[in-house]
Amino acid sequence: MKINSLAIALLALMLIYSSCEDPIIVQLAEAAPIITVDAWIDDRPILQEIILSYSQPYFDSTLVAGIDEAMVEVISSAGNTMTFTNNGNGKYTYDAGTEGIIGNINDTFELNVTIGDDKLSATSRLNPVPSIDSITQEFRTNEAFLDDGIYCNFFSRDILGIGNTYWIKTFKNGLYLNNPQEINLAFDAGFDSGSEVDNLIFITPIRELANEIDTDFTTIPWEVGEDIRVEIHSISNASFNFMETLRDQLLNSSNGIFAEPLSNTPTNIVSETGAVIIGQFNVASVSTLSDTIR
Amino acid sequence: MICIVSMAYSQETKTTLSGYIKDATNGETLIGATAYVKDLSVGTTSNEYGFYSITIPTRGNYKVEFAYLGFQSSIVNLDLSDNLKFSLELAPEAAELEEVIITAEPEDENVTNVEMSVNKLDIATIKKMPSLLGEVEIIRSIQLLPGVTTVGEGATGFNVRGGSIDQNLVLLDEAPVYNSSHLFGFFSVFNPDAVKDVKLYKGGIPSRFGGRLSSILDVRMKEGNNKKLTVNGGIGVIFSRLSIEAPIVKNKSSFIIAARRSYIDILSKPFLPEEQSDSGLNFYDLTIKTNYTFSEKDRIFLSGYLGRDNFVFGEQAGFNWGNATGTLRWNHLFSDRLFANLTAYYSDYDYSLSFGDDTLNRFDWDARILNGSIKPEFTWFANPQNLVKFGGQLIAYKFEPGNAIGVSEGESQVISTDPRYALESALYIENEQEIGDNLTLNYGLRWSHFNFTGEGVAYTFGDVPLGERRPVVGFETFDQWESIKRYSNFEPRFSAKYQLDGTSSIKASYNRMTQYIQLVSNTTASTPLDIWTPATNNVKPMLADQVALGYFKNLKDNTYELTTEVYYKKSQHIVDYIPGADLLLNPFVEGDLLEGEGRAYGLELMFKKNKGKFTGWISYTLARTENNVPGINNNEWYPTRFDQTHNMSLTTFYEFNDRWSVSSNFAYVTGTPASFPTSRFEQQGYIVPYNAEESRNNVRIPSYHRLDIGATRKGKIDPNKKWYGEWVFSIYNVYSRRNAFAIFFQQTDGRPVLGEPSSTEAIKLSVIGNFIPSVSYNFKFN
Repeated sequence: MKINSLAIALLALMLIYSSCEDPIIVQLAEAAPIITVDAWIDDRPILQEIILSYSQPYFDSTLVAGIDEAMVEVISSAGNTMTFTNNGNGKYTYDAGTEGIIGNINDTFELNVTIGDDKLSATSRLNPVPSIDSITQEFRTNEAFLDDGIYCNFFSRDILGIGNTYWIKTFKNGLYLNNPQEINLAFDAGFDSGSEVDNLIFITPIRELANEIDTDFTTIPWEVGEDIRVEIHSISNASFNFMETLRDQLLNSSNGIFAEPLSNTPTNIVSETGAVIIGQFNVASVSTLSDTIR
Repeated sequence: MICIVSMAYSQETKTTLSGYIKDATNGETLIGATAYVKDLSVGTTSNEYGFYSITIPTRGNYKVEFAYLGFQSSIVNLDLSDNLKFSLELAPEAAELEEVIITAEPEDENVTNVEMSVNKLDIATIKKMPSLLGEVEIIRSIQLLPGVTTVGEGATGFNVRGGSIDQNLVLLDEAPVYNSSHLFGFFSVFNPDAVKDVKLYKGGIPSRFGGRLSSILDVRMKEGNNKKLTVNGGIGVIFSRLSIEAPIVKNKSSFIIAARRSYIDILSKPFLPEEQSDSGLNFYDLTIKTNYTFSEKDRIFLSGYLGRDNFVFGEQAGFNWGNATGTLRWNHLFSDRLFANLTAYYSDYDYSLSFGDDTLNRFDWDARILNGSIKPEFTWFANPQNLVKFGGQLIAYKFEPGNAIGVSEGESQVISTDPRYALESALYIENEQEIGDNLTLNYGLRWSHFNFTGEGVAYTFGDVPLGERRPVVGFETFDQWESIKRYSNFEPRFSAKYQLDGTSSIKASYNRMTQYIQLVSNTTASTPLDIWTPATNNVKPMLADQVALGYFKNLKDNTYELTTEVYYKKSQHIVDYIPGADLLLNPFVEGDLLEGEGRAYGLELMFKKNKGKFTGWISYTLARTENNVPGINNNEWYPTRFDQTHNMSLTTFYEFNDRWSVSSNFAYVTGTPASFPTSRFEQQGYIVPYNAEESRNNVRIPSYHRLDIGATRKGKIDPNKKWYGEWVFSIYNVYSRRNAFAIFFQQTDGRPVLGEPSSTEAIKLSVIGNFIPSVSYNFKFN
């Protein structure tokens, strides 16, 4: 989270009590569907998935329309070509468990997608990821804006060198905590490129995001017996910018009067015909630690 | 009407009448009072310090008339066979002690003055308006004037003729105030009990002002009653106020101390759970001023302001922000016709914010803009036809965009962005010249210079496709006060008035303004965290040229006043931001800025009724404000976030009797533009809005309208009683309209479930969702 996003969200919270929100029906301009590439793969020996779909009108609440019958392959700098096979609904998979992991740290990868007459491509490098040393559990009481209960922190040290970017994911009983409020991104050990917190232990707000957070920004305590799993994914700077914009867009509504103008997520996918493409290709290395709440 | 006839005169016969015009009740100097020699048809108005000077072409005995709106005029027989210093005090009209002489001179200033695009709001009028939670509000009051808008309820600052909020120079006793609001934009930092005079220049800005593109809001503080001790106070829903003013040495020296504090935190404390009892919001301000008159020729004023907003989240976290200003002024009369003022001021805006669990794990961050200035100004009452002002200014700036320390498990790391320094200087001269009976000109030139200096690092950025973050490709280190980049500009200013007849005139003006510092802000309403930044080797100073044309007419012995103006303003080097710009704690913030141009044009109408039991005004603005910034909106013109096609307000006052009066405001404003998505896409399970047209501000939110009403019950005026009290009742947003501030797009309910459809919705945010009644009690003791 950008520091300003956090500060602004806090400021906006101050105003919430006097303000009110009502659902409203608005007329939006029509736009043609745009090809969307959802290609986040990693170096673990598990099923890797790439999804191709079309964008749809904003208020269209149906499932996205997948693009089938495309050719999807990833070529590594080590010379391996991994073909992703179509399973319907726009899903393309490669089973790294049976066919071998996609590559090693510092390899670069090229994504090639052929849809009809258009060829899409993108590159990403497999960056290293720090290991997670521990997940701490603490019973916290009598804190402002925090219910009494067990809260977790994860501890890990950013890799030496300025400009490492990560996406930290927390799972509760095996389920990814996917509220926009729970998106946890780090630039080195801090929030963004402006803050030079190289090679530190991830700073407090980042390690505290290893908790369930409600859509009203309330942190929800863990129950005894629940499983927590934290994963750090190394992501490219481009993917970090993509996720940061994505998160800002999803949380903009909570910034109230301090909202920023709508801005589209950047993309690292290039079309041979010059068509506008949405989405991101990233190859991550992943470190994991699990624990049970006691 | 001040009608000045040029006449031939010789040096020998000339004499000068000069002095100060003051309020008889408290000794406050009156700004803009007139002195008029009827037989000779010469006259003048008092300046910001109450000083006037008239050159009398022919010696003799004359009747001189002194007048000020709302005060009884006074006609005095003066022997002007030699230079004469004559100061006098005028009594307010309401006192009804003597026969009231009604004169027309000051009341038609609207028509006769060469100034255009200028609005004066006297504090008595502002106090009568119905207000949010009963708090007398200067900034919100000027938003009822033509050409002045806001992006929405609760947003800080104001927009003048299409300028962003940082294009207004807000001066409190000559010192700039960088954030004019408490609690975002709900309340302004000005304590009404300490304010004497408020003047807003929207165009035709004289050359003595500079440094901002769009407007000057000149707020002058009271000097303090130099006749007797007076205590003013008020108890309201939000603030309590108290001010004390008194003479120190009678007629020579006086002071005023005015303080306000909010008490939501104190009132709410018993109702909060124990763990939140340390949390809360409060804001306060303190205004002090004192003056000393050494002699007829020398007077000094010392004034200061300190205000702060505090928000505390328990023991661990908090925010606070505020301004501090200090001004020292010295008035000196070199001669009866040469008045000088030397101002030295200091102004500081800063904020700090911290969060964390304990001392081993915290994040502390502060930022500030600090500046000091010296400003000599001279007014030369050359002759009845020419009033010359000249002077200069030097400002030294220090910008601290962010000092931050992150401590993680006891390891700390400084995350600061380097301070930046700059020197701004200006020289100006202007002349107000009357040519014949009907034509008055004010022409001048301002030369401004900006020197962005070390100590610091100047970065150079590489080229990228428009709209993307520019990478740093090089840097150079500079020593303290070593020049990194210099800019200078000539800023011509011109206004003219042609008197059509006794009750109407036409006016025209042109001004060029330059602005060397700006607020970097990408949010709809500016936040207290926004950073001021200087023009640098990468960011050019902003320039604006404005022309305006107006017709002014008074009707029925100045009972009604009609003002019509059209304006066109073109700005260069205005700033916008790349998508996803990172503006705070970013040393390379210049790489996230985009440069473009702006244009604003409009028609402003104001019809005002000044006299009688029923007074008020209706103001209407038809306007357009657009920017063109390569990299945004497909490089095409787009309306700014505060563009409002129609902006109408109706403000009325009615006095039933000596005790009861009522007032109302009604505002209707076209909805502001916003950027809406067209589509949504899915990525990693998130449903993300997308604007396939890449357009900015392509849709308008619903229009805004609101009615407020107020009533005041005055206390009995009894000269034998020392206590005077009044009750003020108001209802804000009478018909509880939930005006849209913005419309947002979001996933309908919380956690999306993988593989299942999820719906998205549009949400209207209203800052105020209901009518807000309030009552407050004001008192005066003397």
